[in-house]
Amino acid sequence: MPLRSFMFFLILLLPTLLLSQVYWPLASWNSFVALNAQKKNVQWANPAAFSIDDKKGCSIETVLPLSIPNLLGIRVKNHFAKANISYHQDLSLLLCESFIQGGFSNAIALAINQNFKMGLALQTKFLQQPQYYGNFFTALGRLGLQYQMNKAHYLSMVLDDIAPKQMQIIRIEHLWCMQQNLHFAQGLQWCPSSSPQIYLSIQQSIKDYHLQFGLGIPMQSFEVAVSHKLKSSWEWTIMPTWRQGIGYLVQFQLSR
Amino acid sequence: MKNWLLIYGIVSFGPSLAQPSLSELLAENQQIELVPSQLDAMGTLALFNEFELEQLRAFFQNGGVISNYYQLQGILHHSTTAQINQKIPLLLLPPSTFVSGQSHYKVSNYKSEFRINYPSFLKQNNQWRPHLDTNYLGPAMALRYRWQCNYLNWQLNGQLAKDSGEPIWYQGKNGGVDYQTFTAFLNNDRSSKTIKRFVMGAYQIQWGQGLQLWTSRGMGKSIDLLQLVRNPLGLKPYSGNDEQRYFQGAAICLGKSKNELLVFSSIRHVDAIQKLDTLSNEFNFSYSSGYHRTLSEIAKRKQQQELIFGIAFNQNKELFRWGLCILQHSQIYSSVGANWQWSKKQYYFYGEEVLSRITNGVQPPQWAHNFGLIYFFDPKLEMAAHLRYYAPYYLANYANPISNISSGSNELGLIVQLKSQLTPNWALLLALERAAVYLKPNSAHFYDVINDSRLVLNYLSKHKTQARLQFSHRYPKSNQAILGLQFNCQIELDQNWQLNVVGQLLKNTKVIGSSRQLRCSIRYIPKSKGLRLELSSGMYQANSPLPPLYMHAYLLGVGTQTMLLSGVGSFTMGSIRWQVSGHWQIQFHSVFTSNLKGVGGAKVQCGGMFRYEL
Repeated sequence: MPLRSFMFFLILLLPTLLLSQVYWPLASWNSFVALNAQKKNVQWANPAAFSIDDKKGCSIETVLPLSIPNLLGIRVKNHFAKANISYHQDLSLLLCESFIQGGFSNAIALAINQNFKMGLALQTKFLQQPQYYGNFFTALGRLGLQYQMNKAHYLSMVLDDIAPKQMQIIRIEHLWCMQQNLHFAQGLQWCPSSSPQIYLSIQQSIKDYHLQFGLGIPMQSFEVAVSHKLKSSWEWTIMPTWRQGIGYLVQFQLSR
Repeated sequence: MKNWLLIYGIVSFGPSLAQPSLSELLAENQQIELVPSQLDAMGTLALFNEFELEQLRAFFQNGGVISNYYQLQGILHHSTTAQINQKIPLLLLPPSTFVSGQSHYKVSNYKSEFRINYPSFLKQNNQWRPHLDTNYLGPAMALRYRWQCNYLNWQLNGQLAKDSGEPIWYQGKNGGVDYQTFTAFLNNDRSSKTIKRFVMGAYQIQWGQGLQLWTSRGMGKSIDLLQLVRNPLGLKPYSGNDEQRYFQGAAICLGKSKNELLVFSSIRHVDAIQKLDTLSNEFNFSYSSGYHRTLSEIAKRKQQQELIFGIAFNQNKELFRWGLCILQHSQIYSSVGANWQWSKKQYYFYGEEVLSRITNGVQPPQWAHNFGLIYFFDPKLEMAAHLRYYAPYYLANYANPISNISSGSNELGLIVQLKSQLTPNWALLLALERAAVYLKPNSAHFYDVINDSRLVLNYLSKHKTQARLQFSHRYPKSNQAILGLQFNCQIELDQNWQLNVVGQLLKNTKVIGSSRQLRCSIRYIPKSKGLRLELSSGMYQANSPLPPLYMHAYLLGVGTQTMLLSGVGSFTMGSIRWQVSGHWQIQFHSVFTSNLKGVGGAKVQCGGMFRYEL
């Protein structure tokens, strides 16, 4: 049965493999393999993706692009869930010598039933660059769905950056829990101004450690992440990433 | 030689290998009565699930009639007979008894609705402005008022409508509201009376395979072989949007036992180019867009009186139906046609022959032929072949045949289809078509041979998910080949929620790159609650010289939204319907399109509907 479901999703995504041709520059520095939530809240990526097991939590993360000097990204996230509703907010800042880019997002998710969740987010973004283009402010919407087809298969869809300028992105991801500690994800994301991007990822948990490997195909990006859960309930993550056009990035995250 | 041996083998041994079981033969020889108006009741009784109901609705919309066991099995993609057998006893035709007229109409006794489409707004120089064309003589709003009333076996309906940019009232000859219809319809199908149906006012006729008379517009060729067969609904009242394809007058359908006689006449003013503007001896009916917004469009409005008379006879035996029809269209043409459908064991034959003669033309009478065969090798394997020939000057203004050209003339074509149920969930369909369009003097059509192949893989789980993947290859001799890939996935997330993902890829073999689109929609359709909504969003890339794409998305309560997708852009559509009380229903919809590259820019269009039902 799981293999049959896997084949079904493979057929679903087969055409998109053919669509994928060139690199799609991601605006977000986070790992893109995170649209489905199992035990952790990932509402920052998909407003619907929360887990009732993760009732409250916060995290701080930084990103450092090695090939771009004097640039640092910081993000603070916070969430809490009650019954079948979860609320999430995050604040992000990208600091550079010549500009500051920031964003503030609020997401609320509702579990319609045990398998189906739906979420909505409102995000505000600003760019402060007084010496060149002045200040820029915009508000964006985001709609997300998460559906658990059976014990092993999850499906997510996100309409991202919904705005009057119609620069939205469609993201679809399928997660296959092959074993309790071994997961495989395949996904597609597409913004109309560039070509669609396909990615594959595999994740494994070994005791308190969590490993993740992601690959954009054709070869546009890859990432490796290692997480360790401490006894004090804090968890740290380090994630070296390479992306075409940006180069190497190192991300560090501390969460509980 | 090998091929001939193979064909001989199939023809000789096929029937003997595919002997049906006794229960199948019993079911096959009893007619199944399943009509569109019963579908909702079938859903309530949980006899069919949502997906099956949708399949059946699509089938009926194409003019289909379920008349035997294999048809139902083919449409519902069931691999085993067990599921069908459960439904069969509930679907078998009851003995012919008198049923009171009141029970025929399950719909409300009175219904009226008012629809309005507001002027669209365009974004120009960062400012939203209403889209107003100064050439249009009327207000930039589309309005439509429609009502329907049922009493006993009678149905009365009427409508008044105008399109965007059309004047509300026309002066002079044939003045009044742009589009108006009124119909009084008597339906005695379920009773033993001789007068089966009677209509005065606007009506439609579907006859035979659509070669001679089929006033409604078709849905084109289908990959599903059972949908190649046109199953006519005969005489129907009309209250649709199409301002051109309907009859207006009186018609009566008399029935006795299994015989039916239909007599009809229509007198109507239709749009046409004035005689002064054309050198053609025949009157030119080519203007049929239905728009009357500018001076030149209004000049063509209702310029010609169209007179149609006809008489048709058909006999419906359990497994064999045949019919004859004679039609006289004004002083333009007359035609005689015969059609039949025959079901014998696993064979299903159908066809139509029409001879049409242009009254004042120099051409000899022109033939149109249509032959089809469906062979059910096994409940898991079906094959169909469809041959058509339409003579170069064949004329039938209200025809709707299976054809590459909408006029349905000057064409020879063969379609072969194969459908295999691989597993209970997976089905494979293969369709091959070869069509030739002949050289015709003084015509825009030139000689061409078109080869079209399609391969479809269908996935269907019991209640939740269906997916469809289609590969297509179209190769016109005169042009470049187009390769296509399309997938459609529909998931029932919940009893109330539905997710749909559609993607399409088109590639011209001589051009680098491909056109593509992706659309996702989420729908909330509870059965018991009054609120229903849908949100659909998509994006596309189809830069010239890549082939353009077409988007046909059904928007809840509004209908199919068709868009030509050219350039690079995205679109978002939303619809909300609210049952305010037991009688009132309100609906709003909005369509937002944005073209990032190419013509168009950003555009928003909104509309509303208010309905009262008693």
